[in-house]
Amino acid sequence: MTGTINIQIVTGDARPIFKQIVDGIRMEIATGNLPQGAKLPSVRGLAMQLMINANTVAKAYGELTAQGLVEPRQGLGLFVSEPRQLLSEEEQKKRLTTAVNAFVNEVAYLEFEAGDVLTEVEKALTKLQGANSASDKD
Amino acid sequence: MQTCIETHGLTKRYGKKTALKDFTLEIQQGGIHAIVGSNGAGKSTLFRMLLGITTPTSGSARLLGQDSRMLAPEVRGRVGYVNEEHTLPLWMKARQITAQQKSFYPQWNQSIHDEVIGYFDVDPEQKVAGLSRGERAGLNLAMALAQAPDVLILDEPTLGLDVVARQSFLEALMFTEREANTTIIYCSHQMEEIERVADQLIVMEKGMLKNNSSPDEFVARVSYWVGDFANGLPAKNTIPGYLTHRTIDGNHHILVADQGDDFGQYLKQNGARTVARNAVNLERAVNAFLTKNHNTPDSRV
Amino acid sequence: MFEIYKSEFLRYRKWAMLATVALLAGYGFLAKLKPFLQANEAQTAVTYMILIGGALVFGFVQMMLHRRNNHWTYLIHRPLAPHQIYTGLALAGATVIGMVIVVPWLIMVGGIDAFSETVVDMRHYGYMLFLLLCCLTSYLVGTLTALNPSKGSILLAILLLLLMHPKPQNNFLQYAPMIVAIAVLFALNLISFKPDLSTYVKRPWAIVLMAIPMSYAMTYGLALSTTIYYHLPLLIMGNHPDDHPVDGSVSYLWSLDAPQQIAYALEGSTHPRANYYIKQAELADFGYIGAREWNDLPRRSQLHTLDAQYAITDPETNSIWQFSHDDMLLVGYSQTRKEPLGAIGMRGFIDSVSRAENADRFTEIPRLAGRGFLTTQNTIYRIDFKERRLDIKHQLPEGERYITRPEIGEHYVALVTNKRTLLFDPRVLQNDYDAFEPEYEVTHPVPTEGFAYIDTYRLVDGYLFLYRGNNLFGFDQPGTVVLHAKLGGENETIFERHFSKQKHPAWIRHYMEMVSPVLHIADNAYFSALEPHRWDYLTPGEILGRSYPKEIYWIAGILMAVSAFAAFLMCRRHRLDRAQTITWVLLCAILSLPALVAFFLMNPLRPEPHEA
Repeated sequence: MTGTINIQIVTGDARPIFKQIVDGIRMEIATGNLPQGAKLPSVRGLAMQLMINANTVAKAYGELTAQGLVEPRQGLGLFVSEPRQLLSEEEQKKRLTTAVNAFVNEVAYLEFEAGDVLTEVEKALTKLQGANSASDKD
Repeated sequence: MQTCIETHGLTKRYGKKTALKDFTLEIQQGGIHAIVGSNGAGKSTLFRMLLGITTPTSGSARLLGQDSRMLAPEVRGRVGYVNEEHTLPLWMKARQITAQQKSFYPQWNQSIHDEVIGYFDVDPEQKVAGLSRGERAGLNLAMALAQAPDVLILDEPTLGLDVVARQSFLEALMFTEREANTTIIYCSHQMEEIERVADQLIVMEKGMLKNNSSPDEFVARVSYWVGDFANGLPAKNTIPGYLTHRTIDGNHHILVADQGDDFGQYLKQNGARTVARNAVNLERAVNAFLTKNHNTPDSRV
Repeated sequence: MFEIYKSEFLRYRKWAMLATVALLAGYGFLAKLKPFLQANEAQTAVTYMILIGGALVFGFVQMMLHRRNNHWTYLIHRPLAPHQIYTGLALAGATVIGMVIVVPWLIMVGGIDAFSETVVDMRHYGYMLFLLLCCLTSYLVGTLTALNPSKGSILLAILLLLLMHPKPQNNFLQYAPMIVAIAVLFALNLISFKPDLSTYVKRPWAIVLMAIPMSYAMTYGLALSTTIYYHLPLLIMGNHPDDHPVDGSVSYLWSLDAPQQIAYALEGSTHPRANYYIKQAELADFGYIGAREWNDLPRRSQLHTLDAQYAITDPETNSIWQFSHDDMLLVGYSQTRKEPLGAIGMRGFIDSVSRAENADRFTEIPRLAGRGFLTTQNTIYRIDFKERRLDIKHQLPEGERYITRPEIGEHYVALVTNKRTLLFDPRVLQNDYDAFEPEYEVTHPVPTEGFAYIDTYRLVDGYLFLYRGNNLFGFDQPGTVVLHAKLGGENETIFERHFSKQKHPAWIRHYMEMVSPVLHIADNAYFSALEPHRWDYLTPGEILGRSYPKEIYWIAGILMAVSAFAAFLMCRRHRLDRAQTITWVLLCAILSLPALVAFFLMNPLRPEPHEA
């Protein structure tokens, strides 16, 4: 069964469309909407869904494959692969820093204590892990 | 691979006005190549010279390897051209025009035609004069694609179309099943469309080629800096890669091309107390290129 | 090509039908006003203006609609060679024109032929072909004007003058030049119909085909230009010879009263009775006889629009007689009894057209003059409709022919032949049975080409004739002759006065020859080939045999050399290639100034920007 992907792309965003797709699918996988082993829509199908050039989807799929999030099966299409880390430790650190910076930037002006913020973050992360482990059982 | 479009030092002057200046461009087969440029950037002149309707002042233009000044009917048959007015004989019925076009093109593919026309609601017995702008655009596209051209030039094809027609047009253009690997040259002012359709982005300004790369690479070329200058900005012509700039609340917002992170250092060395780098989207990057040489007051881009 | 034709015809189908119906309605209206086939200059002029002018505008508009930016791309950018596209469009245009010209005319003429007694000859149907070819010519000029970047393209409409003005002596000469003109225009259109319409024609053959008619048109333009640098300045300064006749020139006579003219023409005469004649002239009744040879010599099967008279009607018998070119007989029809009345042939009345023998048929088209007079070139017949008689009233000896219509004056009826002037008592017209006998016979003292009319002064013992002309004694030899025609047949030339002065200087009088000798000769050669009987169209031999004032030869030669040299310089400036340069230099060397003007019209104003 082909997984349905619930992502939106926005034109006029600073992120190129292919990046938005990569991010979107990564989030879908992270939230468990696309469980491991789920089949991704065809390039053409997703292109039609998003009304974009199929080459852009192909490029995004390439990126996802390179990151190891999905894997091609001969003649069948792309499938969500087992979670494994392809990025180097250094790269991972760099991305974490970027993400934290962006997050801090967002919450800095809110009237929360640092403790409240951390609790919320913890909750969100626990939920994410729960979802992942739930999908593992499928 | 075949070179679809090739120009070398292409120049066109009308009296004292230069419409195209030393324009060298090569487009390989395949993909959608978007051309953006402000009005008068020379897009139409370029197309006219490619189709041999205007003779270059100097330089050369080649279409599918043949000199544009003497295109054989056979080459013309492999190049589709759709203009923004969707010029069609107004006095003919849709069915008659289709039949006429079909007779000219040996590779005519009726199923492509039918599929494209399916996106639009065109009554074959209707006269072209009675079709809406969107229907006319659809009919035109259907015929252009059914000709199975090697190159299809679309000059602002969605100009003046409503949202629905525009969406149908783009869908039909991108998703109609085609056998041939048609190279599409897509000229538009709609950044949103460009972002969706373009594999390659060609930027023209004042008759000159400013960019020919993927849209992402193009966006990466442009960086957006905000600086707080105590003694004002250095002279614009001394700033490397300078595109545009405006002053907001005393801060100088500068867009530059082809500068790395060390540009921040440059700004600091030239009187900036604080420097921040922001991201830009495609539209802003394109606008920065297109407005580069336009004299605008500081309060506007 | 056929698809283009079909689509283009579809575009104008409705308009073509509308125009056809409108024209038919117009014809129907005309037929109510007067006999439809009766020549009428106003009607012909309006028809030409509407149809031929309309065809030109149609061709122009048709191509202008196509050459709008996007429309042009749509048209030209397809897998068809441009010449096929043009042929398709032009054939569609020609079909529209053909439909509008042919259908209403066929309905009208066919209807008249079938349902009335009116004489309808082949030539009445043939007129349709003439109109059609004229319209196609102007249509092609129209499309060329829209397609060719040259600002002078429209000047090729001058071809219409060359096709429509002459009255050729046979049908071949009528139609062959039209076919040639259409072929030339079509070829020029084909070569002008190219993807980039802004580029000028470069092929030497196309340059020649276009430059020659354009140069020809420019000879008229240059002739008109004398107004600006000759006539106007003189008028402004108050020295124009029209206001201040040059004493000592023939035109000076115009400023004098009739009697004084005799005195002026006799100035320097040693004739013993010169003063007597001057005094007599003051008392004399004055008149004049037109003597300019008529140039409407009718020919068999000529266009019916050229007919001088449609029919003779006889009110007494209430009958109408029309000359049939097919039968070469005058065919009659009774209006009251609505039935044929037979025919009139050279030997008199015939009961019916079908009974005519070859000897009955006229050998030339007679002119119908007045009520019941027929004139051929050397015979005047009088028809008596009541008695059904045809009498010869006057006949010229072999080799002599009438050159004007009979002139009916106060005291005489005058007939001018190529040799003589004959004066008759006006009462001869009432005399039914006798042949005309002249009272005076005056042999022309000079060839008829030299004068346009003869002034007459009635004396107690005959007439004084005054002949005048700028070429009276030969080419460029102005003069007057005073002659006394005496009662009883004797004539005496009183005095021949030669004038040394002319109204205008030589370069104005012989402007055409000076500006382009070759075009002047070619123009005359063409017209004289089409109409050999016209004395005023000169063969090349006749022109070359003339002796012009010396300066004309010099100026003409200098103009040719200067034009050729200027063309050479301009070709260099426009960076034309060798073949084009040679073509233009030769054209300007041969055709002189008009070709140089054509060069400017057929090349961009400024040389195209160009980089190595």
